[in-house]
Amino acid sequence: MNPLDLPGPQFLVFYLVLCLLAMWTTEWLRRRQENGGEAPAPPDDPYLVAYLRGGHPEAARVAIASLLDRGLLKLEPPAGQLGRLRVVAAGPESGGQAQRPIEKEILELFRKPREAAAVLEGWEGSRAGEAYAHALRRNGLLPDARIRFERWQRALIALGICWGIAVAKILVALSRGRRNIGFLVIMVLLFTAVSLLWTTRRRTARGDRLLDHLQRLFGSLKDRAATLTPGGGSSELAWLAAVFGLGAVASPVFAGIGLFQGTTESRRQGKSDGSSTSCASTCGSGGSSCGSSCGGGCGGGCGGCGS
Amino acid sequence: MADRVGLGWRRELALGVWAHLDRIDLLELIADDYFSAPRREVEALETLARRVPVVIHGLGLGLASSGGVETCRLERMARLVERLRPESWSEHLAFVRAGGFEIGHLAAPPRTPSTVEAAARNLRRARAVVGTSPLVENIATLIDPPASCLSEASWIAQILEGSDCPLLLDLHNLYANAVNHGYDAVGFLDRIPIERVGAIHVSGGRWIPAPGGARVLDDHLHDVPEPVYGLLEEVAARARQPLTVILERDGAYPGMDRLLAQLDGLRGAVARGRNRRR
Repeated sequence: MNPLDLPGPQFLVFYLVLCLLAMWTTEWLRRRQENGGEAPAPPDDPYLVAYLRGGHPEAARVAIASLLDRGLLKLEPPAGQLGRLRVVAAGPESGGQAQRPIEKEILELFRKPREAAAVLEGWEGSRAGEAYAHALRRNGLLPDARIRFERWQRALIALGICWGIAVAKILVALSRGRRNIGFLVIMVLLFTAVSLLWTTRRRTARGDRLLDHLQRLFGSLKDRAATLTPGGGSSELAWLAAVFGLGAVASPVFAGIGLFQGTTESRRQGKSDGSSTSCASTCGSGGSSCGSSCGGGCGGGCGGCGS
Repeated sequence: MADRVGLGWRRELALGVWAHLDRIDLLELIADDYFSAPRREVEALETLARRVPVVIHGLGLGLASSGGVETCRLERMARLVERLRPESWSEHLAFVRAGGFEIGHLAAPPRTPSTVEAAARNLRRARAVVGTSPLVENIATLIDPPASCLSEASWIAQILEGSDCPLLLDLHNLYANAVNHGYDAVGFLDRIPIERVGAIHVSGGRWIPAPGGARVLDDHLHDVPEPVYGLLEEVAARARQPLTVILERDGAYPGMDRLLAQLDGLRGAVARGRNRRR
């Protein structure tokens, strides 16, 4: 039976199944090709993970948060004061204590007090960022030219099939004097939009897998951020922020980071300067509730006495 | 291979452990936590295993059980070992169920020739199903198992003699048993084949009141006590093979700094023992 002869509702069901099948096949092929081999090797640099999760601005935000926590950057005027917050390098010696290239770049940028959000939005040509992108592409965690080409190839084939059938049906309908093609057009547009969205995904399936693994390994720690010690100088805060985002570490003990996050978030959302304090207070209340969940449970389980 | 010092992987410690892997030589995963875990949880462990060497530690097989180990439990262990490819896997010389009842903790069987034979039989089956022999661990027990006719040291030595399994020597269990049952922990080391020690567990416990005096409870909730460092030094002085020392902590987690300081302390104890041998 020719599906183009199906009456409207039946054809729409047929077309929906066809589109879903095309999308599922495309996605299955993408996962298979981008996710092959053994588990991805986890990086030992938290900023690389932040870059994987949210690109260069995210890596820079996490690096700024880590530098603030370690006292190599400071907020000016002091945290808690209303007004436009600026970030400034703590002193000339701070550059020597920065461990990674992205930290050195950021300290250089903030030699003069500047707003973090303004810097991050206009920051181009970061060598550290390019190095991260290159490393992630080399390890198959971000799509390189070949992967992008293959994605477009699969998407165009799927789109070609679905568009071809839709156009043919529309021509058949019009030739028979029918004009009720609205639902079909909507379905074509929806399918096209989803296909384009999937084709231009930032990470590869392998990159998604690594991020998922890290989030599972760190598991409930997202809720335990309030137990971290501020100013500890370790990379724990950087790792937590890299894997889950800065929202996971904003708490009363990291008030400075909460305020810094407020400046970048308010900039992005086009809010007034005063919103940064409200962010801090919101984070504060969230943080205190997080703390209550700490300490329970027996982790791996010792199996009782004597293990 | 050099001596190594590692830590038990616990979710609560995950972030701190991950951030300090430059100071941790290996991690020990609790197998029972992952037998029923979703596939992706186990895959995540594969990612962990690509960053740091891992070993697997079981709790619920009951290798010293006279009733035998259920095949399905061994198969679950085999699947996990196949998946994660750890350096080694280990289990306790204990029974955890009997007559259809789950005891809920590790219990010491009577130390008799028949439980030696049962343990050897279980170990042969474990090897056949999992593919490699486990390291077998001595357990802590608050009561001396009734109907025993062998000392703990000779019971363990006979099990080792009848199998090819290395010993996972838990020094806090040894310390607790020595205190609670009134024997000399260093003398215990004289009576076990020290060359069969493949790994060492250390942990902390607390004193609890008991009839006739206080006893040490091995709860894994406290810092490693000083006598355990001394025992570790003693083992390092006697053993010729490289030692793998794993710190177990199952709750009341201190800051990562304190755990790392304990790992450094363990390294120091091993080094002192090695120096004594020279």
